Amino acid sequence: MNILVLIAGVADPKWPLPAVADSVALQAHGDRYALLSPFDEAALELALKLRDDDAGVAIHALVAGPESLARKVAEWRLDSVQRLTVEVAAWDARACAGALAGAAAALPAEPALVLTGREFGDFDDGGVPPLLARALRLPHVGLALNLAVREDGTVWATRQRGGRVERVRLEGRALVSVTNDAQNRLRHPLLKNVMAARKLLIEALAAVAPASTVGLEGLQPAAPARRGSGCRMLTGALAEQADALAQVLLQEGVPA
Amino acid sequence: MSVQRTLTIVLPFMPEEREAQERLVAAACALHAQGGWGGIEVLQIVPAQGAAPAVGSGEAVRWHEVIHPQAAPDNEAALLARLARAAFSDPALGAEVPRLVAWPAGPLGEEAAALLAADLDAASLGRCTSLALQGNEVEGRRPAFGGRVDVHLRSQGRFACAAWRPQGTVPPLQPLAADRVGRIHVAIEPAPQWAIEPLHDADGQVRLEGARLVVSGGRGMGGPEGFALLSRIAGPLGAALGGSLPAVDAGWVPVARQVGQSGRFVSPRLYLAVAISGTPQHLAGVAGSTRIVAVNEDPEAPIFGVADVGVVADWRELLPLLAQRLDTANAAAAG
Repeated sequence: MNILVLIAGVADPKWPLPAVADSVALQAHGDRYALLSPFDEAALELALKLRDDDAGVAIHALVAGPESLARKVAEWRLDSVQRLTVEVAAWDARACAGALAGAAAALPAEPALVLTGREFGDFDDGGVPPLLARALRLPHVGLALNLAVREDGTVWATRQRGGRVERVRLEGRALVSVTNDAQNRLRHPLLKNVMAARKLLIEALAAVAPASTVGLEGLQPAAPARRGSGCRMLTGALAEQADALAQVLLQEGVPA
Repeated sequence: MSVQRTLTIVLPFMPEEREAQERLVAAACALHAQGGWGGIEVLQIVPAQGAAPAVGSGEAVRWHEVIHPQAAPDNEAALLARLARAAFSDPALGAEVPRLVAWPAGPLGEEAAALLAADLDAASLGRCTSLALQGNEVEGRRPAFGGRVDVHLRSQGRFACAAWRPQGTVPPLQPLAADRVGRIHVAIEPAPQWAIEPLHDADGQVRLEGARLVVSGGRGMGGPEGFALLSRIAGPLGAALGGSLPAVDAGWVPVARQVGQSGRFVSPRLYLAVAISGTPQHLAGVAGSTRIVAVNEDPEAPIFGVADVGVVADWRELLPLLAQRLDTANAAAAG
């Protein structure tokens, strides 16, 4: 089975954003401080688990991020890692999905399974995966927590649906967007593979970005959250703090 | 003369989400009152006539029940988008009317909004916190980069789609008169049914959506034991249990209870944040009208900058005492 994992990366939140927030500065910042998002990691880990169970699984990664991120992804000894180079309106999920679909279609091996995080990069809030599935003419299973291949060869995705968890049988090829979960935390790479990734030639794959229908009017640092008029601290001994806190909660709570 | 743009709200059939859905309708009424719109239409997807009450504010709302037998709380986003698309072809709505189509924020609404944008060749604005009209252009604002950047988007296209999480207070709603409610029976090919095996239902605890009080823990809880204590505190208060992304990552609380930009949006009266530092990503999931009570052993934690009430303490020492007091109060109230 061929698996394609799409990786976007996010800017490491430890580093402050540039004072002047424009798309060019944010792009440069994102490239400089790129790391895998929790959703990228979850998608990659699920692919690795499928390979653990079946040595015949081939994992190919397409990284829409800087070379450093692609090299990081290569540390898990994938069958191929390519870096997607495209100028796309990152705030436009349709344009992003169109560019990704074009790149995915150009890959030599048609994937049986496309895995991606539930959000694709710093600008996305969940629109890219379903739109990419639509562009690739694949069914989309979102909020996936796990994947398993049964003895009869069927692939089942465990997914979150509202307050429920359920398994869905994938009918043929599919795009699965993965959310974070304790079961899919990304494993550490082996040191020998980390060393090999440093020397790996990362191939660049150009893609055509569709025209965007969404104009970027502006970007600005988010205003700090403002609530109330200052924090009332509950002081005193621990027992007094507990008493005061209980009173605050009981005023608002709904006794069971 | 150009036709004014209609503000369209699409509501999936989800009775348990009724409160959030009505808040969206109320926010639409407030936005419409700012002027410039051709009207408000609400498309309430239902399995049968009268399955969901019609509400509005003022005289602007036209309510349309979009009736299809497959409408159900567990609909896939692809089906919802197809139902909305089919409804627009009905003469009662008019396929060519310029529209801003807003869906409730959340994974389902966000996916449906994106798919409908593809179907309509519309601008996909994503999960917006505010929407506006400038002339006949649609403006949307939404957070990016983990809530650290506000993105201001604009579209001139005939159609634009968004998931909308309105901020601030909204006007009260009243039941709509019968003459403002129409019915559209949509005929589409049945959606393919996937083979599904239920694993487990909701965990039996109070739902995050609509909870008056949420008790939430973060990375500083250090393990599942802390969440067991939080559950014990939530019980007598009738509170919902939540957690931050790191706590979900660690497996201490299920992803269905994740609060934050990538998780649930909650709007309780009070949000008890225990061992949560207060990142923008997490706070993006808590309504601005919610009072935050923070417990953290670090007096410099950013959460105290946004909290209304704060306690600097180690939760391991404080929470057992708090649980005792709540149990005592609960027993006294029970008589």
